[in-house]
Amino acid sequence: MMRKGCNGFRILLAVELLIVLFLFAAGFGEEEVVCSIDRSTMQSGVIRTEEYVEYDSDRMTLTPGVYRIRVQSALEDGQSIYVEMKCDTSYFNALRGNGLTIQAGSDTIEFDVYVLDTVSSAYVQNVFYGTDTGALVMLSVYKTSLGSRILAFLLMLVFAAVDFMVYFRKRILEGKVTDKQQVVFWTMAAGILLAYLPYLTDYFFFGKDTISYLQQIAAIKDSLVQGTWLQEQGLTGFLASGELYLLIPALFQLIGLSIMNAYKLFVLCVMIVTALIAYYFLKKCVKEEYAALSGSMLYLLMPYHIKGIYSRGDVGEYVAMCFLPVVCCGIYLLIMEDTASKDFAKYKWYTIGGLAALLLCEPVSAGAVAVVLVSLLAAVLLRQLTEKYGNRAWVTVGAAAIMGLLWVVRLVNRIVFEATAVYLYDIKNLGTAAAESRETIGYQKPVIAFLISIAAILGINLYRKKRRQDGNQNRSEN
Amino acid sequence: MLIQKMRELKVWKRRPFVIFTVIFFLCLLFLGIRIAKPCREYLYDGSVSFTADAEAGQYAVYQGISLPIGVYRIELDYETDTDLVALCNVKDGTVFSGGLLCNGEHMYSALRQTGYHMWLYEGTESLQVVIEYGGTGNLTTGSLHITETNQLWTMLLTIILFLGAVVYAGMIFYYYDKRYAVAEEKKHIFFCVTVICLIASIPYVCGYSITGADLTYHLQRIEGVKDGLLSGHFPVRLEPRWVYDHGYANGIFYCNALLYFPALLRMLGFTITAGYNIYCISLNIATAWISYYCFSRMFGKHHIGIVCSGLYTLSIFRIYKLTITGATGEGSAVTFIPLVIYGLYRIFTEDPKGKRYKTAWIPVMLGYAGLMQTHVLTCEITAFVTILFCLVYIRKIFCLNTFMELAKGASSAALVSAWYLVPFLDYYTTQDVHIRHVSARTIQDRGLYFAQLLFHFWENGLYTPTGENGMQYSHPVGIGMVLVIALGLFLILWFSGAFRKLKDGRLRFDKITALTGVMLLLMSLNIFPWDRIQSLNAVTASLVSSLQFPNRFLGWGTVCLVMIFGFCLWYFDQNHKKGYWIMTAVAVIGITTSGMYLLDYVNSDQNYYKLYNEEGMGFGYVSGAEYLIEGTDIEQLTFADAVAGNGIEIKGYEKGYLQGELACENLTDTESYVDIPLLLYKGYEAVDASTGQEMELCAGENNVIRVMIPAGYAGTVQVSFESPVYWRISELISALTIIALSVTGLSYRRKKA
Repeated sequence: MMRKGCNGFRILLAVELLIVLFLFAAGFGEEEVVCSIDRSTMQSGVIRTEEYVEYDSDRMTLTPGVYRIRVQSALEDGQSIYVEMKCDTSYFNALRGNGLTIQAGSDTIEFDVYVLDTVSSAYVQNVFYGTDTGALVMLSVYKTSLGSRILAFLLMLVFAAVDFMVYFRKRILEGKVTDKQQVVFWTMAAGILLAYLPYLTDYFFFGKDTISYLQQIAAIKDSLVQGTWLQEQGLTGFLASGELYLLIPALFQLIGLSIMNAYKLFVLCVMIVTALIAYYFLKKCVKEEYAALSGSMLYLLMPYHIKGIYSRGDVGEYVAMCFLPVVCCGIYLLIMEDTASKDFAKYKWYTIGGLAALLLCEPVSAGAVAVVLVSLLAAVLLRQLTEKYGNRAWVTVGAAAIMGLLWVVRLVNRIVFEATAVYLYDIKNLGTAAAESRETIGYQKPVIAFLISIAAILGINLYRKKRRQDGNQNRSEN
Repeated sequence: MLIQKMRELKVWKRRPFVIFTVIFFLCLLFLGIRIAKPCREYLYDGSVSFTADAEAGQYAVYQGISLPIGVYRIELDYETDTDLVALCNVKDGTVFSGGLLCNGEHMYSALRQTGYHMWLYEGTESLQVVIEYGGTGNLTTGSLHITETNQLWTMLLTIILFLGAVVYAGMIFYYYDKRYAVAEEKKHIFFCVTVICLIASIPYVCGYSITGADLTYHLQRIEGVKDGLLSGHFPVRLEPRWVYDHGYANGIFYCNALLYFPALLRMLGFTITAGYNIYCISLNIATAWISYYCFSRMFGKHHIGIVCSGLYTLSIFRIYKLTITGATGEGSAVTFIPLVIYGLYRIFTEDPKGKRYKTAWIPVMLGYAGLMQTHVLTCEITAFVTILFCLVYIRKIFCLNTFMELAKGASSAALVSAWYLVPFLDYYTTQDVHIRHVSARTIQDRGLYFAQLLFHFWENGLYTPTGENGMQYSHPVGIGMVLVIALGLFLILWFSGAFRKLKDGRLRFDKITALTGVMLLLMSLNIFPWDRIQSLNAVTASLVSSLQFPNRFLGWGTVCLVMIFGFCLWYFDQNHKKGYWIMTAVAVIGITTSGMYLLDYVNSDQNYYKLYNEEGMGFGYVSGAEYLIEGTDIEQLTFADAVAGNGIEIKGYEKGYLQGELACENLTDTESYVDIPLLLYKGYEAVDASTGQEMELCAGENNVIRVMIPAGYAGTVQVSFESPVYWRISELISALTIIALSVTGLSYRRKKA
């Protein structure tokens, strides 16, 4: 019976793999031209009004897939063309895409449209402002193979989830998963679902900083497609810029997902990682499942975290927050655990790794939080430190405090140095005053990031070296 | 047994009982005398003219009117050449706030007199009749005729009778408890369910009606039943005053069985708002008790019944439909759904050979009869769910006893509802009404987002969520997170094999209920391919289009998930006491922070109407005009006189509710016609008053009744609506079925006792 079950599972896996591979292979096919418009075809059917000129292409039938509209134009300053794929009638939301306004300077531009169900009366609407149909050199609609790629990717996720559930159930029924572990699993799933609730729609919404991050994601994706990634800044520069994590949504976009869905999927991934990391490292500290689960859920669902994702849209910060528990856990274990234990050597890498990851995501704010946390933890546990390690503890704490202080001093110096003076006496003058000021604060992100990480690494190693020496000295005295 | 025990109490010999009875009957006597007294009439003469030069504003045409307390009918003669530019109302600054209730009446060119009611709760000597003139058109007012009615006293009589019944019941209970000690459990049940009713009724005890998109439509339905009864029609098929006295066949397509109660209250003198609010409170009481009864029977525990009753009565979907949208029909239908699921539960889980099994069809009958006679669409969805259950239990269907129970339930429900079904099918198949032409209406864009199923803190909202505005400020359309948690918990327990040790026959039914709930939730989402299904063929197009909103599936979705919540409670009660208390706490917190939170928001945030008399609402609003004759232009319909064709001289014309009497002469030697301002629905007939000869009817201008007048005809034509014979037969069948079922039920209980 068990063997039958195993065989069945293997067959299922094989079938799933075949499907995904087939679709994936189909996802690298050639583009097919669906429709082409140039100056010569736009002779009839043109609507001319005082404000604009409009031309709608012939109706075409679009089957489900991803379509690319490529536009070549010859525009001068003050002229623009608005291009959008529309349809007369369709099933609900079968055609999904945004229109695009082409300005002078963009000779060739392309954008994607997503078709989820057959649309029998699709057309491309072209609205010309300040110019006539002659400004449009060529407009082509291609059916890409991105649809197969997206399907392969989504099916892969679905199959992975189904396989996991089948395997998980098997282990539960065999008694290999305890009740506690099940509670942890389901509670974390529910917590992630709750945290992700605002995005359980087919749309999303902007936080304060979302647009700039979306632009960065799109830029990385374009550079990957064009092969110009890392050409400007190199790998070190890229790492120091704190945009490493943006590769993930860029890769999602590369697969074919729209910018919105790529971003939403990325947010989901971040939430899952946050919950898992927080649980794992908290469990290492407290050594109890339910306590770790509570801490993990509190951390995931705390209002600051939720607001950071949805209201502020500060991607760097909420990604960096994934690694904060790692840093805290590392410090806690270094201080609380027995130095003679087998795993003690590993603990410093938690702090180092966590800090490094933090700094790679959002150097300033996350780094500041990490430094503050490290300092606080050390200060709070000072007594234990002194009991265990004597006056040497003071050296470590002092070093961390001085590092933090120097950082803050540099920060405030920088602010004063770079900020534009604004004299504001009446709020009504705010419009004028705002126009006169410019960006006030600049960060030397890479420099600070490396300063802090190097200082942390050096400090911890120095401390360890000293402890080993003391240990050797004590042994020789005895 | 109970009656014998009550006889032994000898309550009638107790002093408080005697004292109260004396007071009660004195009140009744006083009211009876007051009702029997002839009504006073007050006549005032005068005339005021308004021309287009006059400024818009409020003008008193009569003042210093002295009246004692009572309900009066205000008839002001007038002539105007424009519709809806003037409103006649009453005003008095000397009575206490709420002492004078009236909305007035708009003035129309085809009408010569107002005819609206006012409620005066304090004697006055300074009543004014005012005209709010809009500044356009000509208007001349004439004499004023104020007629006292009995309605204040009939209203008080109703209230006294109700209070008397409550006091008597309370006294009897007190003495019964003193002697026989009613079980604590029963008191507990009564208290908890009453609290649920009270909480659900909070929006209805404020002296106004919360506005909703459908509220005025359903208020028109109630007024239509009232007017129909007053005109001598029973049952009411066409609402006589609707569509500017043209009559509207709403009662045939949208059964108004439950609306006879608020209509009766209206006839007894209650205002529109009071009558509607009392009806909704009654619905809340019925829903709470019916759901308690059904769920407590299904789980065998009274406390689970109470929790489920709370979850169901205060569910987000029910509050949204009944209170926020004012969809009284659908809100009424929700009351009966638990009966159907209880009936199905009994039919499919009980032993078919058991003695008790023979009564399993009764809840199905009651549920289906209630659904058919409140909201046909919900009945369609119920039929769909029933078919699903039958398909899953297909083997059981082949068992004769099971099949018989289902057949008895379905057939008895059909017979009880025959009085409605026969005219409905008759009109639907033979009358070309607008509802038969709306199959192109798509519904998928009105589906929910997945996030809405997990929403908890609902607020009032402004918009029905559609594909364009997303969930921003959307109405509270959902099911509530608490119920989804229960569903999730059930699925997790099932997934992890927790049910393997359960041998209870109910488990299969609950699993099917859970899966049905999941399916219904999916069907309410905008990702469900409704547009695809609609495009399959004409039948699916018609069915899908008639649904209008995918969220209608949440009614059954709610009952399925409440059932699952009850199951989780039942399971934990047997296996994990701590879990049971946690689930109960979750239910209480969930109801408090979701349902009650929403009710609180509705009370504080939503607009309201204070409607007293029917004329204040107007007579033209027909929502989507689904039951108008196809091709009728609603914009052209207003109050109108008879319109004569060529050569016809109208010598006299009187119009009543769904009837008209016309004295005319055809001066030509060719056939001509007269258009009567009544919509030509099936059932109208025209006869010559003296000979009784039938005269030809056909559709006139804008689908009104056109009576063909033969050449040289001179006489009186009577046009009236008469229900066909087969409709009357169906009414008889329904009445006989109800009597037979009642008699059978009573004799069964006697045998059992």
